[in-house]
Amino acid sequence: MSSDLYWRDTYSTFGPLFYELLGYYESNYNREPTWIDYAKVNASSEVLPIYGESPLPKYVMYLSQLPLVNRLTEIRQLAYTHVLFPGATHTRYEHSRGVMHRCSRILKKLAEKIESDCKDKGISITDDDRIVLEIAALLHDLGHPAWGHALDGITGFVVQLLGETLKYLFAPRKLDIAITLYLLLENDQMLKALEFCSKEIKDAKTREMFGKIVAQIVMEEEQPLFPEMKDNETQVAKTHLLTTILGTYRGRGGIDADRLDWLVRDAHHANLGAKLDAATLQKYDAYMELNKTDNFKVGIEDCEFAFVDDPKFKDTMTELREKIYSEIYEGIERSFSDSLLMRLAYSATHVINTVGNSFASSSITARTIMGYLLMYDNLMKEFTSDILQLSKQHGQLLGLPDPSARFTSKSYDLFRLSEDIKYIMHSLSPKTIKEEYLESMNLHFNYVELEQIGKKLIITTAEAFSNLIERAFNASKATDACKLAILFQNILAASRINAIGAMKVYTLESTLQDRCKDANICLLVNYYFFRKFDDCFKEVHDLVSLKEVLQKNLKSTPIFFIITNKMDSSKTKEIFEELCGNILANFLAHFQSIETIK
Amino acid sequence: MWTYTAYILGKYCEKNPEKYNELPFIEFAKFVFDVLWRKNNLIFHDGIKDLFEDFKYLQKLGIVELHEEDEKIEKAKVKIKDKEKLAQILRVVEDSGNLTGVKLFDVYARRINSAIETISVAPSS
Repeated sequence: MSSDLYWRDTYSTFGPLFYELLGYYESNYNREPTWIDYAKVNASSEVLPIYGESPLPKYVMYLSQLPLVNRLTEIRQLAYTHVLFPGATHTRYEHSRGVMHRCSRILKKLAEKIESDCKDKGISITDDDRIVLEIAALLHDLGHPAWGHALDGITGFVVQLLGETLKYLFAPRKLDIAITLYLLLENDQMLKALEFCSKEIKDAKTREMFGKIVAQIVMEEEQPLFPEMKDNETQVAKTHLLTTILGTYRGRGGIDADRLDWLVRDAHHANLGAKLDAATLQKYDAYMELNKTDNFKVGIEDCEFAFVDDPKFKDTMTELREKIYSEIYEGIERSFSDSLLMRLAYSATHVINTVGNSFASSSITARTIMGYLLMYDNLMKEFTSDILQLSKQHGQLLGLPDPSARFTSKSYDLFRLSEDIKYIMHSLSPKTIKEEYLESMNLHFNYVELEQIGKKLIITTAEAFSNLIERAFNASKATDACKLAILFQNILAASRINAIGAMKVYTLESTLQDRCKDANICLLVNYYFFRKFDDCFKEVHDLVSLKEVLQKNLKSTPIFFIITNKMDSSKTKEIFEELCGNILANFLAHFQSIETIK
Repeated sequence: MWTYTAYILGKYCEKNPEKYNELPFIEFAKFVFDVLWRKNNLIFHDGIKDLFEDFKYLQKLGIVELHEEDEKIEKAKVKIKDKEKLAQILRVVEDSGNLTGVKLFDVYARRINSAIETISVAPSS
């Protein structure tokens, strides 16, 4: 086929869907909000779960009517958690309004303290500060895609498509924050809307930099992102104060109204209490009451950084946070569903990008990908299905090389598995998960027979992973420091932002499939493992401490899920052995790469 | 990201080799925050304490020695204890974009190298 015909076929096959996505973004989210007259918007109020009546100042009433903000009412806060906890269907909007409500109250509480403690430094809380903080709180999740944090594992892949915004992203690790920044800096609807809202601001400098100040707060970066802020010390100090009310800085902390809200809200909707014994429940109930009424002491360091000055409150909060993570967010069930969703979104985004590269500019392609990632929960599913089905039928037009092409094509088969997500998630209980031992490699693995759908799920745990890392460590001649750098940089940091690419999941899957031709094999990687591992990596300084960390913090965390048709034990072992052999080979290649670099 | 702290440190000392023996921590911090961040839009650390934590980790790995005076990090001095180990980490970081397919890593390395190009390091006092 000539290249012209090839191009025309790609265009006629994928073009309609590509432009539908672009149109979705442009017509809903990127058009200037000319249909609402800001001057005629009135303040109001609404009733929030947990907190009750909450004021809607004029600027919030205005912003919340924009399609870009209103979409948060169609995005579930906790992805597929409702499959196990049916009450957990609350939305990003409910949480965002909750955070805004809490920020206003905490700012009021802090204002008195600042008045008495910071007068000599000329710092006081103004109406401008309240407006900036309330808007930052409302918009802090603006770019959150559907499916919760499942897509954080593709952050590194998506941010490369964000054009100018990339310049302001320092080591991004969360997709929602990267997209939020893109929307605050490059989206016409939001830029115009913030321009209207800025009219409420009295201070000329704050008004002039309004959108950037909001972006700076939402990004939770301590260092100013924008050149015009870098030399304005008063503005920087004020931004630090407001940011540490809404969120935290790495290594410094903050009051974190965002976390205060999701802790009570997610626990409330998921009914975490039902999972706790009486004594723990009583302790957490007491904490929740203090949390939701702001009944804890706050402090301000150098009149610049706000913090919770209440050790007991903080300790209980840390315990509760860990409980919520283990029981609700990152249990094996959510790990499975999020690994599945991450792969589907990765494949769909990859297809859109490939199509865009063949006939559109990078800016148009980025906006089309935004159209996809900003879909409502239910539409995201529909469009993912359409994109993957089309790519399975006409994959040759994408010109993807193998194994990438096979991986994308198989993603459509996996999509159909999402119809059975309830059954699979409910099958992942300690009662149904069985253990198997692979003598040849001296490794254990877990599996679940999914009788209802005629499948088998093989689970690779951190224990096996740790063993493979240890073997690669021992086989490499490099120094421990060098091996740790490889482990951190190439395996953890890379997988944290691009788990599928860095772990070479498409190659692993393809090799497994070639080895076991009579089985239909799909491979998923659990991004949460790498996030958790990265968070405790500073405790690792040699092989011994590495093993301790993996044993202590990550022992039961799954890393890979293999989905295949029903098969006997020997065949299952064969597949697991092949996977482990290939993972080991990948690690060895990383470790040996240093010996070949000149 | 301690690997990038090591990378910046290695490149900084390559530019002015006398710094291998004694590098005032504050001088390095100034480069990280005033040059790399302000002029080249790249930062991995939330302030000086966060940067210092990375140095403590590099000390644990036997790459640097930290000499603290009155436990004040502003007065701390850094000595590169193991140049070879540091050089290996530089090679890991430089090659990571290629090996992992994460092109952002190449962007970071480019920004660091371009920041290093612009400085002329003042001699230690």
